[in-house]
Amino acid sequence: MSVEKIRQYMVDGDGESAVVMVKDMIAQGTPARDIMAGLTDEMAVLGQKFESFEVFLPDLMVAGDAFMQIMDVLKEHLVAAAGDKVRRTVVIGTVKGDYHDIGKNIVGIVLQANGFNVVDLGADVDPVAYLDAARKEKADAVGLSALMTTTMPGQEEFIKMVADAGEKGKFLICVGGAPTSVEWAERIGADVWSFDAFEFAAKLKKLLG
Amino acid sequence: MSTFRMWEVFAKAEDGPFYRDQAEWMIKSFIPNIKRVIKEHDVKYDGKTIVNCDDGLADRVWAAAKDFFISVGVYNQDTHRVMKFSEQEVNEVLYTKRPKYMVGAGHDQRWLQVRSIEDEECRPFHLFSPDANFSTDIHKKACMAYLKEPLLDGLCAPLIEDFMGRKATSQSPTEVAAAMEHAMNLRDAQRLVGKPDVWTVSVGTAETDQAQIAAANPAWGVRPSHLDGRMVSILTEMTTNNAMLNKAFHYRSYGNVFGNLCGAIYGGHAGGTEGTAILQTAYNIEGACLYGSCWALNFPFHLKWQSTTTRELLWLQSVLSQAMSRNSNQIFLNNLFANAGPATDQLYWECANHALATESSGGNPWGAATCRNKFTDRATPLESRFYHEVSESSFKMRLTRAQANEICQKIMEKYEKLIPIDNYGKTIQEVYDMERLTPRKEYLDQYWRMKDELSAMGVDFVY
Repeated sequence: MSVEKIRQYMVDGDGESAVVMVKDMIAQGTPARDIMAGLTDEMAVLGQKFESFEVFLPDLMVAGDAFMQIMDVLKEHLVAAAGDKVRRTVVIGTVKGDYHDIGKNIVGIVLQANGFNVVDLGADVDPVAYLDAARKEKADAVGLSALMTTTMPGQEEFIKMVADAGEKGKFLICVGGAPTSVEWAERIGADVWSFDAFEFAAKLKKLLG
Repeated sequence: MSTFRMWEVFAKAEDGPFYRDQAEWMIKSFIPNIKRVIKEHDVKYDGKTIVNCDDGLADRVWAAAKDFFISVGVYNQDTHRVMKFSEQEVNEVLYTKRPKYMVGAGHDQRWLQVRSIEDEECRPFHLFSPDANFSTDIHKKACMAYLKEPLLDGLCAPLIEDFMGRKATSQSPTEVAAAMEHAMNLRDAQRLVGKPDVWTVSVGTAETDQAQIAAANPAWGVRPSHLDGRMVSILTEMTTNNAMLNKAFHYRSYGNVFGNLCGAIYGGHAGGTEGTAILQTAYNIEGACLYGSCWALNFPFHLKWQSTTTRELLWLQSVLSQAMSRNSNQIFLNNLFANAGPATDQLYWECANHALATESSGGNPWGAATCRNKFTDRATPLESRFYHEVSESSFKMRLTRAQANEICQKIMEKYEKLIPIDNYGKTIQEVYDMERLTPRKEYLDQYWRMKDELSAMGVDFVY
């Protein structure tokens, strides 16, 4: 039994074996935070390998799935201590009328690998749903993905709605997706635009700390 | 003959196995099966080749694709059920696929048909398409500029971005109106350049089923039957929804010779080159079975660069084309998406490589889209002209796959390291005189220079 072994189970997508080992190790006194640190580190390694295409999305997905199974067990044992870094929360989704979600999915996994708490609303998300989730989760950022030029206006619609609701500035509004650009983001008043998930994670880390 | 048991197929959306969401189906079915077929059918990419010359590999990709499609089926997002097809059903569809269609009419009537590898008889079908948004005020002129091109067998016109000062938004009246305006502009443009009945694939501006249906009108809009083509998408990956099935039903009923638009993502759910090649090939089978489509437009693209001209993606398009040509009666075209923009040397190189990699493999060129498909007004008929001339020249020379690979390797050296760098070039207004709809001298000189450079590499241009 070891954190190394749990990391390997996670990489292999064997959430069940990982969960059994996690429970045993916690029962024997291993701090949950040590296990968590190992897993987060492994997800970051996977994220870097994905960026250079040494591994691909399926590898990230199966590891991410196992990671979430393990987190379900770990979270009740994790107690925030003084000096602990606060996990920032990001709400993500694909805008209304758009059913493409691969970009958003990759963003979710890469953000998790970088230590963010991710709330994924899925695809075809109404702007009101983003705002509701941002309020409920006390989000630090909201990320809106669009893969078609005819759904990009959904990003602008959300920004206008947030301003009308008097919530501008309470969280970062981030846009992305294949047809978007920094010029588009500036035109609609978004706070962040990123070329890909990795640039997004790096920007959020810099902006949110 | 051509089998599409439409209502039996649509019923599968209600009867198939249930998965709570697409992610669950991906993890339990899609990912394990793609890994399995790569291994069982021994599909491997060497990382270097651009034009495949291994017939056995092409056949194994086909076998893997058919195996994968039958094993996994198609996930319907609206009903949460997987639409599965038996081997018997797939075989029936594949056997009865029509290998040729007459499209267009009058002096612009053409055959759209199956080609073979190193085809000596059947020239490529040249579908010109910028696959980009154009400003509303120049849209009709842009259509005319493309339609003027001599090699054009068909056109997928540029998209309109705005309607009455508002951005065309999915599922709203602006999208419906913009789709109608697009269709009207295109019909006018065709008459004004003397190609009233050339085949056009319409209407790119219409993303939704309701906008597509609204733009269909024999008098002023998208025409029925063989006169105009349409497209319906496979959603990534191996996914559909009721809006897509609605489109398929409308196109079948309207009689269009319509296609299945499919782009597997390299680096996405199918993984690397091998998985993406199998998935992209499977998409051609899927479109025929799921939508009853008459042809397929293949645009497998790079997750990071959103282009189809990287080394591995050119190989993928060549092996996919060969897999299809050797094993099926299915008509398909190959979509070019370049990284660079108009009036850059890089764009010309990317166009040349895509044309050469696909023609000798039995493909048909569809292009040219530029600038990673990101910007308005950043595409021109001039690079499309070059792209299609290279494809036609490859055919006229009867270029073999081995010869094409040799030239492609030299061309790849010209731009492979430039791919990560943004190089978006010029707008159509800068490259073209938008009154006369002709290229400006500076850019025409560049076009001729690039032709000379490619000739020096061994491409004998038709004119």
